[in-house]
Amino acid sequence: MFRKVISLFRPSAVPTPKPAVRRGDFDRELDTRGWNCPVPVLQAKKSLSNLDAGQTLHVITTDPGSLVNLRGLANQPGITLVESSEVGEEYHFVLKKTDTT
Amino acid sequence: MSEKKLALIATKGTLDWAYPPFILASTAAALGYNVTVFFTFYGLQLLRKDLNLKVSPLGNPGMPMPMGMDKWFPVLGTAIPGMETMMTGMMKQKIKKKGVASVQELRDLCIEAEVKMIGCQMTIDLFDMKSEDFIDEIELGGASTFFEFAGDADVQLLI
Repeated sequence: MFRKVISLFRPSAVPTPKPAVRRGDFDRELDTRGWNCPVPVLQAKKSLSNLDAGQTLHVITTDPGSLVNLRGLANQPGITLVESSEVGEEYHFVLKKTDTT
Repeated sequence: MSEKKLALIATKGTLDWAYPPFILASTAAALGYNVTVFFTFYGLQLLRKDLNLKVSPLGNPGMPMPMGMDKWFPVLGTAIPGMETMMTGMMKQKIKKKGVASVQELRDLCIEAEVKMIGCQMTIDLFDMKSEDFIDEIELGGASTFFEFAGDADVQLLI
């Protein structure tokens, strides 16, 4: 809150958080910001099913439940979690489809 | 690899109680479970083509209400005509505002994820319901249909 107020006066004082995942590091992106459990995991699963083996999906969420849900998804055979990070109130995941089964 | 199985029985037909079966079913399906849900009695309301689910504060002291009304508003007041519609409207607004999917959306996701849904034939007969009022993706069956898949399911829940 305080930082937000400060930034109104000195926008340069608070650097915007660096994006955790750079564009180009993934094949497809899924933005579920604002959606609550279980939407992110359901949409991630759906998006993964449209990928080819070896392709990656970048999922952005704001739902803390997705931390558990998307890791659960990544525990499934054929899916691995390449990267996960928190930027502010956002969670970023990169999931890789390892095979098409 | 042997697939895990989830068997659910959905028995409630209100807006709030529509969530547990559809959330569990869709999430389990996403996590690789083979899911079947048996809808019986009031649970059949969740399978109507035209969903008209409501929530009632009456007889539910655990339901949070705006302005702390659940603490001071007289129970009898929740029985006033129109209260149910009002509360349902408020609940739907809250659901939307908090980014929770609608029951319809969750049901569609379940269908897409190939969750098997079975409607109870006996309930349909008992309440003189019309099978054409229900979505086409369901199958009709009875208790034995439930046991066919629940018998070797890893998780069985009644909701």
